[in-house]
Amino acid sequence: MADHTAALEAFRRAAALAADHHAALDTPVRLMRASAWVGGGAPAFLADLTAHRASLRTALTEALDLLAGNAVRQGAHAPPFPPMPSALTTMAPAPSTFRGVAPEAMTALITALDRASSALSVAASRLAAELAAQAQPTTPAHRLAATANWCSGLTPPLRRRLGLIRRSYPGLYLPAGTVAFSLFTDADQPLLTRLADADTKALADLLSRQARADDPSLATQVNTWWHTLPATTQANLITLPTFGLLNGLPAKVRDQANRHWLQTEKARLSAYVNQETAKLLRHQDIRLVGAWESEALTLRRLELIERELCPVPGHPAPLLLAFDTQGLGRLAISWGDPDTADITVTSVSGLTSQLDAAHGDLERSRALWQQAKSYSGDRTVASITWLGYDAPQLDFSLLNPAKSVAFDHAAMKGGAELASFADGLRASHTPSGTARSVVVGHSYGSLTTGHAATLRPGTLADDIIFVGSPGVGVERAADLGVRPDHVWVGEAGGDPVADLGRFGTDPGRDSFGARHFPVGRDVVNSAHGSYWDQDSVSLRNMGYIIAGKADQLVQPASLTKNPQLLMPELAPDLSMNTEK
Amino acid sequence: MRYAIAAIAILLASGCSTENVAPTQRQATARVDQLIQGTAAAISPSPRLELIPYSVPPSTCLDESQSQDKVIINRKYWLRGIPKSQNMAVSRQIRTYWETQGHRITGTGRGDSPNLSGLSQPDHYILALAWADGDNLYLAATSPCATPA
Repeated sequence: MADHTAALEAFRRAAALAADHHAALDTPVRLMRASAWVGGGAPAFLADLTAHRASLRTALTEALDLLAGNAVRQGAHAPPFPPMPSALTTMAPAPSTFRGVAPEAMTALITALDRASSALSVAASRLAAELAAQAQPTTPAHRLAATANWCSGLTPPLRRRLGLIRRSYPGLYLPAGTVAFSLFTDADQPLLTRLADADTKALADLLSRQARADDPSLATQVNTWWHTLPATTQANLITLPTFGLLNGLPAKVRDQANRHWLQTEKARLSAYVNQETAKLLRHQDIRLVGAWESEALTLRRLELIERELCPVPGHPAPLLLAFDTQGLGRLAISWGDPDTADITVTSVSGLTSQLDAAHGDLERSRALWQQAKSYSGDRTVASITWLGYDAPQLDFSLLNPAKSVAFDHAAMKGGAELASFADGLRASHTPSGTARSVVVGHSYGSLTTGHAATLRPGTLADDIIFVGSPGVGVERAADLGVRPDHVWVGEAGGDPVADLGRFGTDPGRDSFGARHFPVGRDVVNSAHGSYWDQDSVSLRNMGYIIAGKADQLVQPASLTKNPQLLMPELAPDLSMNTEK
Repeated sequence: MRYAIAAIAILLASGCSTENVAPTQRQATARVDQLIQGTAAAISPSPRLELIPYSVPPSTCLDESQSQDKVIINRKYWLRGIPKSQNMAVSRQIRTYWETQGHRITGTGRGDSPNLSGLSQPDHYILALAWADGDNLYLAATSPCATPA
């Protein structure tokens, strides 16, 4: 009788523990489901949390099973179990594209985890004692302790890192990616740790990884890492050559670092060229010409970039996001700050684009900025010229499959670089549920854009515009990872490149499944390059798409009074359907 | 006859005509102003023209078949002082005016959108009446590639 009573008492004490603690992780789960944290690792954390909640309940149930069985074996009636409802009622958050963290809700989450940790730790000890006293296995108590340890291991660093992040991001919300890599992991990227000490080899390795685009989270790690660095380290890194090329750094930091590098290089090369010119004149030695010419070309390119960075009246200040003077050269300039812009449009050029011919591409980006800005009211716009890959040229490289316009090798390599660049834009943008990102691919650049879209399905852009495209590397718009009604195709009549369909289905065909936008039939001269003519139907319509105002697209006028009906093949807009 | 048709086709495709001699920057600026002022004068009630500053700096001629030294002249003006409810009426007035001037209408808005695009004749300046956020309208004219002054 005495053993029977003791066994029942042990069960009752354990049942009281279960009643008090089975819901210890319900509050954190509710906070997660209420969008305290959306995106950037939240699903993985919620999965862990849910698993620990389930483990907690299983451990308590198993302990009660053991103690109840023990009591029954000693002659007691089966004791009643306390109710432990497993379902968790939460209000579904409203659908939203917001990805970030509300710091207040996150603080509440950490506090709830902290409380659960203390309570479960005590409960695990008491449960272990009850089970041991009744000669039962203590495994359930150990499982409870493991959950308590998971919580206790999480909360102190969480609280410390949240404080650190809030000092870095004083706004109302924290970027989702920052939370993912700084709050819930150690963010221990060895290359970044080495880079903090200005290790140039680590920087080169990071840039190489960036070019391969095999880690979509790299830019977010860079962004998080940057924001947790001491100010003195940041100031030091900005002077490191090529540092500004890292995707994920804030745009203004990239601009500052790249301009510093540009000025340093320019000063070095100016001194070199002056000195070598004097030497050449003095010695008349033809062997000195080669090195001189190479450095003089680099200097000319730096001066070209410097000229293009001059502010243009009425436009936002240009930000130098990337440059490289080697080979065909690279350049990425943004008109407007892409980190804070409500609308960001990235233009990807194609055949014959290169640093030396960047002026036209920059004009086009400014034209897009003007047009999108005109239609966007109070919303801010950033328009980026991205010459970030070796585009095919009309020279001897035509015979080289790795570089020729007849093959997609250059586009595949460029697509990886573009995907990484877009990762950077996302990582460094302030959290927003309404910001838009649009990529415009022209000519061979549309193939590059197509490859980038397939590398980053759903995240490259909200809308993709292809103009004068020879194909984008897929058979259907739906294969680009963007909803087909957000894939736009514009083709001028008489644009020979647009009719090629060399790389996959011609995007201009109905079977491709994209939406066509009229480009006007005033596009007759130099059709392949005339999509950006000021106030032309094509530019206006790109502006409307970029601004998210596709309902305003300009339609081709009736041709009843127009004599060029004699050549209807020059006016494919006539049969266009934008109502797909 | 076949040769004549081919010649016309080539002329149309290349945009060449005896009227397409590149204007000077000064001529282009004057013509753009004339097109804007003429169009604005045809609108009732009379709008107040507010220059959009970023349209003023000449931009580079992007026509790859022409010299990169050439420039494009563009002017954009907000049409102020017109009740929003009159936007479609304004669009119809402008269309009528452009047509009476012999200009070609190249694009129109769908439904109740006042958007309008045109091409001046015989000199091929791009004309635009554009709808913008807030139901605002602007009027624009753009020159062909012009020789710098």
